[in-house]
Amino acid sequence: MDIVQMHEGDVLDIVITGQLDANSAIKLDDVIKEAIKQRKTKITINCVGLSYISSAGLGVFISHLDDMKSYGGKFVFYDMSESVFSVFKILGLHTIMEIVENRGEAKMLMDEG
Amino acid sequence: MKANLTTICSTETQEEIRIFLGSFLAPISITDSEKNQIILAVDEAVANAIIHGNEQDNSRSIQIDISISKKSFTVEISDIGLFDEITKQDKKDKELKAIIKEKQKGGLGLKLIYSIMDVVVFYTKDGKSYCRLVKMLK
Repeated sequence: MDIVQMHEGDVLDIVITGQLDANSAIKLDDVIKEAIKQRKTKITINCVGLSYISSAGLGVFISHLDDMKSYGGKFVFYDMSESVFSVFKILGLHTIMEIVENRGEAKMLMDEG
Repeated sequence: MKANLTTICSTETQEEIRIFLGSFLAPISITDSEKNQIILAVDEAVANAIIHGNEQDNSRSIQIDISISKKSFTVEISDIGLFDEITKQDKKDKELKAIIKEKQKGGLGLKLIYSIMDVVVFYTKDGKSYCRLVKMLK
C-alpha cells in the first residue's frame, strides 16, 4: 500500500493506493495521527487506487473520528470503488462517514464546513 | 473441490491468503461482490487468529482448508492459538457507536464475519483452535 499526502490550501488530501489491511493499517494510522497533531481540519481521502479494505483499515478512521470532531475536523472520502463501499455499507459506516463521488464534491463539502 | 494452504502466523501473509482464496473462488458461479465478501470474512478470521490468537508469532503456522459443494463454501482456519469465545461474543454484539466512542481500532472484524457468513463456529480440539465459516450459495 502507498500513501501520498497532498496539501492544497487548508485541505490535506491523502491518496491511498493498494490494499489496506492489518499489515498496512499501521502506516496509515501514523499519517492520520500526525495530521491530528497538526490540527488539520479538512482531510480528504482519495480512494481511487484503494482496491481492498479490511476492518483494520476502517478501524484507523473510526478510532480517530471523535478526536477529529473535537476540534472541528472531518474526513471526506471520495472516488471509492463499489467493493470498498460495500464494506462500509455492511457495517453501516456509510451513514456515519462522509463519502462522495469525486474530489470536487469533497472540496465543496469541506468548504460548506 | 478442495484446497488448503499452510503459512506462517504473520499479517504479512494475509495478501498471499487473499490471492489463494481469489484463485479458488474464480471459477465459481457467484457474483464478484459475493466473492469479495467471502474473501473479506476469511481475511478477518485469519487476522483474528494471527493477531489475537497467536500474537503474530511467526514461528507458528496457520492452516486454511477450503471446500466447495453445489450448496455451500466452507473454510476452516486452524492454529494453536488461544481461544476466547466470550470475548468474541462481546465484540460481535458491540454497538458501532460504542466502538467509535471508545476509539477502538478492533471490534469490527467479527461484525463483518457474522454479517457475511451464514455459519460461524469457533471450537477447540486436541490443543488446536478452529474457526469454521460457511457461506450458503444460491
